[in-house]
Amino acid sequence: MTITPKAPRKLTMKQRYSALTRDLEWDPSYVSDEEMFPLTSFEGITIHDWSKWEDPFRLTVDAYTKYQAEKDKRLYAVLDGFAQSQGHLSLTDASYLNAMKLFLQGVSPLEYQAHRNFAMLARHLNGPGPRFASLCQSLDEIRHAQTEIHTLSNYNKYYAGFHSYLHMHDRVWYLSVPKSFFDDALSAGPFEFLIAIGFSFEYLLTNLLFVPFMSGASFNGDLPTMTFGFSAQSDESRHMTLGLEAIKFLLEQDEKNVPLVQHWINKWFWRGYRVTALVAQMLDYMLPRKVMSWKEAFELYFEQQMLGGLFQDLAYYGITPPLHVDKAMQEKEYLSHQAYWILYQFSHAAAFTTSVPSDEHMDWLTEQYPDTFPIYRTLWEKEKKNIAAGGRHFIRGLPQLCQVCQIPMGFTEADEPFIQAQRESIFEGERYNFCSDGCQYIFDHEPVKYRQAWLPVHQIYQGNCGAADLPGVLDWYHMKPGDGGEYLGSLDNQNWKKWHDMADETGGN
Amino acid sequence: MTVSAEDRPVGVDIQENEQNRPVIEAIEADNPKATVRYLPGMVRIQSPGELVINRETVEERLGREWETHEFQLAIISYFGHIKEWDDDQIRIAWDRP
Amino acid sequence: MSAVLQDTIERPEIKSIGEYNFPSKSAQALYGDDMLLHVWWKGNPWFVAAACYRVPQAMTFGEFWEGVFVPYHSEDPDFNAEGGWGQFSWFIGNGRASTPISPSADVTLADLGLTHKSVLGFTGP
Repeated sequence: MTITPKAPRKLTMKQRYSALTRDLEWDPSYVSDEEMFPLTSFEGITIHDWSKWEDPFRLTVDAYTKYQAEKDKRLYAVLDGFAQSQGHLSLTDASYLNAMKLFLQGVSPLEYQAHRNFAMLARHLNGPGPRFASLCQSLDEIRHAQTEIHTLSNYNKYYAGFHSYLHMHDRVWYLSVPKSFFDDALSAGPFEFLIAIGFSFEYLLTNLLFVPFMSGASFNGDLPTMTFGFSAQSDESRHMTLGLEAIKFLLEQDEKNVPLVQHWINKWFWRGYRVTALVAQMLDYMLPRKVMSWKEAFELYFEQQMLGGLFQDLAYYGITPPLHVDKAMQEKEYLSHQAYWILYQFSHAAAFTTSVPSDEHMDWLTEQYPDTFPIYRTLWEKEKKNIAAGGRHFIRGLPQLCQVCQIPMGFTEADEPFIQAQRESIFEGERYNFCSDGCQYIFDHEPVKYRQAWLPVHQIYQGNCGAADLPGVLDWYHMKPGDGGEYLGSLDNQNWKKWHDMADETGGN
Repeated sequence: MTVSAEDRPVGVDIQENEQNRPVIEAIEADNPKATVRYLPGMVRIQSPGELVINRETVEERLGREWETHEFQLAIISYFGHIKEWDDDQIRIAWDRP
Repeated sequence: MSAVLQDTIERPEIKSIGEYNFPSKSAQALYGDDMLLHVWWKGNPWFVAAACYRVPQAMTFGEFWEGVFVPYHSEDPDFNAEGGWGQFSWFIGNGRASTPISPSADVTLADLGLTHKSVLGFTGP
């Protein structure tokens, strides 16, 4: 334990918090509130008293830096030990890293964007309490981006798919899903951002996103990822509190805020939930050793904790569970099967690899999803025959995309496992396509915003993605041989076998 | 079907490691209704209605001084509201009946 | 060239810090005389989503079948190109609803009633 014993203090935690955070606030004499905080009125939110914002953590800058430094020290000790001991060889399988490639390409850049937006909130919110909480979160988020990049850079020395994650984040089709999600939040006003990211993402969905990732890392021999994940999650509990305080504050300040907040909850639950499809398939298909199914995670982290717990409290304010939550609950039975089937047949254009689940893996899926997986198993049986005949299911073209979530439109109607949902709206003479009622609802409320979506398929056809043919587009994505396609026989798979056979033959390691 | 706030579970997820073991023991001691579930790399403790972490109980088991801010190094996630976090106690509960 | 579509939604009130009115990044005009067309094999899960092609509005259905449709769908081992388009029932999808159509070799995609980003669906065999 390296933390120094606490020095005797004159002030209690409450008094210190008050002195170091609230008491540093002053009223400007030479500008109006409106001039000083120009962004907190246009959304229509009414705030009567900013001092009512609670910060249960009562964090002060000295305590913040002390504990953050300790967290980083612990993490970097693990990273060094893992690198020095060739820890990557003790993973369950090289295919495990597909989940981490997706994480680095899709999620780490969002941490950086969160850093930027919370820095803006730290300047633009009127109250000192939320400004300080935002400042801490802004610093946390850049720490997360940096520690994730450091952690995963060790794998970049040995494995494909890690090398151009930032470049890819801005260009590649499946990464436009998380990127557009966050850009959407960044381009909203400060209160909507608080509900979008602070509440919906950091409170409602964060456990679904991160905890399974980290437990998966732990179960598959990836000590560094587990450590950065838990290190980041320890900040996350503060972020959850910020999100929760934000929503309670808005609801308590004025009754007129309630319908605005309800709409944002409806919108941002669905927007965030669609991004979690990537996690669902990771849990059920990408981890060589399974932790829990998506269905179980959804029930545990969302249905029990959020619907069974939180929303009963929010009912007091007249807030109801998000619109379309019933659809998400139906989808828990098949979301991962459909999401992985999408990635499987487009992985020739991705920076991760996929493969047919083994028989043992399919038996596990049947146990977890007795009502639905047997239907999807028929597809894998057909694909196995296709492979035996010399094929491999890679789509020879581009898919229809949802205008809002930007995922290829592979999600089905709830009662028909093989009928994809098709929705459309026509706005100012142009047709827009959606994968679900949830995405259509979002578009219909803000068509002028969402018609600007940079849909990768549409942009390729306009000639904006380097070339008109697939090899040219992949080149523009900075994809290299070995990054994508089938896992069996891939560069990672060959190297993995070579390293392990070598270790066996020399009797070393 | 609504469940009263006394019965709705609240809880915390804590990293499972040597430093946190005394903290976990202290929580179990102070929350007799708590249940503990071990997941890879972490421990989930949940309890109906409320969960408390007392500085004194942690210090007894740890054999040294411990300030409640240190709990930030242990916690991964929680559910419920943080109703109180002061020098002596952290308390998690729901707001409404 | 393209038919005027009937709007299904009105422009809602926009809350912003300034003038906010930007064009679609997928507008038909960006594709010249072409359009984007979605082709959906309803009920066949082999193709996880409908395909999206850029095609001339004046392309005939025969050319479309030969040059676009068959090469793409041949990737399904159960697809039989020799069966011709008569083996399928064709429709234009409008969200949950659909309007049946009867394609023939010389009719253009536009004359079939297909417009930018519409869904050409088919079922069978």
